Amino acid sequence: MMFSKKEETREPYSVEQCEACKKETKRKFNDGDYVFKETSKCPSCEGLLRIVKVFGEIIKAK
Amino acid sequence: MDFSNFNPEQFLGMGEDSNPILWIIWIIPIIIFVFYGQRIQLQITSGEIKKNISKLKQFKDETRTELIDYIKKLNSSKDPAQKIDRFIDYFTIMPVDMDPNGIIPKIRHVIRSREDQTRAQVKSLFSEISDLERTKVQTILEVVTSLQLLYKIVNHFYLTAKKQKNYPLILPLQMMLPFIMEEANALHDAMPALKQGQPIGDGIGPMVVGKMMLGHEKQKVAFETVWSESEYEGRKLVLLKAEGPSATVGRPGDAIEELVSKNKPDAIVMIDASLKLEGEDSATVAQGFGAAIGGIGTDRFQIEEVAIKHNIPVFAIVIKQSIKEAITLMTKEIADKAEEVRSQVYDMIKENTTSGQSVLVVGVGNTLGVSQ
Repeated sequence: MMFSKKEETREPYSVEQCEACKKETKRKFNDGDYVFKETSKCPSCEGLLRIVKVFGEIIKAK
Repeated sequence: MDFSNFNPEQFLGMGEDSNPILWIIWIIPIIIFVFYGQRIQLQITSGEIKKNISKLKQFKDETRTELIDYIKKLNSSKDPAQKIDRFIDYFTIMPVDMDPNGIIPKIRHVIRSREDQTRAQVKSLFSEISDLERTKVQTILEVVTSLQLLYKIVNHFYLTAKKQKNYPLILPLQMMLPFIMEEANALHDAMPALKQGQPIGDGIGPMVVGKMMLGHEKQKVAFETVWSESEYEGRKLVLLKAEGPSATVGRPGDAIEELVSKNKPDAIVMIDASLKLEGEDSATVAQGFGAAIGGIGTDRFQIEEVAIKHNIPVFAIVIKQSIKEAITLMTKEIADKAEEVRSQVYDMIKENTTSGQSVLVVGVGNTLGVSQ
């Protein structure tokens, strides 16, 4: 149909930031993730990685 | 054009040489529309409404099944279906408003009783459950209850109009249905984020304040509400938000009352998500005055009362979004605005207070998936 709305699917992502070098990495959302959760050590500087954002991005329109 | 030879009888097919078939073709539709016009309109409109009612029923059934499956996954020993069906049909009778004097404490009492009862009922479904999971189940239950209510109301109006063959009765329903369906779609689409504990658009306020609280000691000030103290350019900042990452809005009214009496702030800054108007862009930030807080109005009343009593100005920063964005997984555009809002909060504090003063900064909204 000409005016039918396209369905959107949103994929959740988490963005981690190193507290020391401020480097940000985006990855797929894992169960148990939440904003400001301390996750692991930064691979480049051994600083603390913390999730700073969790958001959804549109991946496809049917 | 020349209208001098116009003959109405000929025009209507009623002249001496008129054709009776033409005359019947004119008159029969008029008779049909005079006597059956409303019914025809009712039939056409009801087709569209029926489609939406089936969609509402599908949403209600799907979310109910998802809730039951979710509870079973958390606690496989009991079958929750019977209890859940009872909770879904719970209703709330609002206090009489013929004499509105003193109605706010009455509304607060009714709403809190309902919350307390729902919390107890959800807890009774499990032998043991964490606060995070309990608040998630409670929020999903609210979604299912809302969808059930929308379905019942729309169905009631539709069936009444059909039964009475009353077309005017279906008109308000036809006008309201797009708005009802927008809300129903949003509630339905909120389920995945609620189950997985992901932040929703409404969580932008707690997200802004949560970052400001990082590294500072957190203390409980009211039910599911925490605060901490920090400093910014000589000003004491009292930071307040609901306790994350649970699916809760906390009790900002009670908390602000308590913190104002304890800290006597010189200004209150509230950060909240706000519904955008049609034509406005999502994730735009706007500043204003007054208590930025939604809900039934009891918390806003409490905050306004305390602000007036202590003569404290209340500033607001809102992040605009649609109803769907507010209750589903936070969009990238909204999440990306957190830094900008935080810098606006600091600017607002600098512009409206001087060194040595204190400011209460409140992140309002559901803090699901947002810690501090």
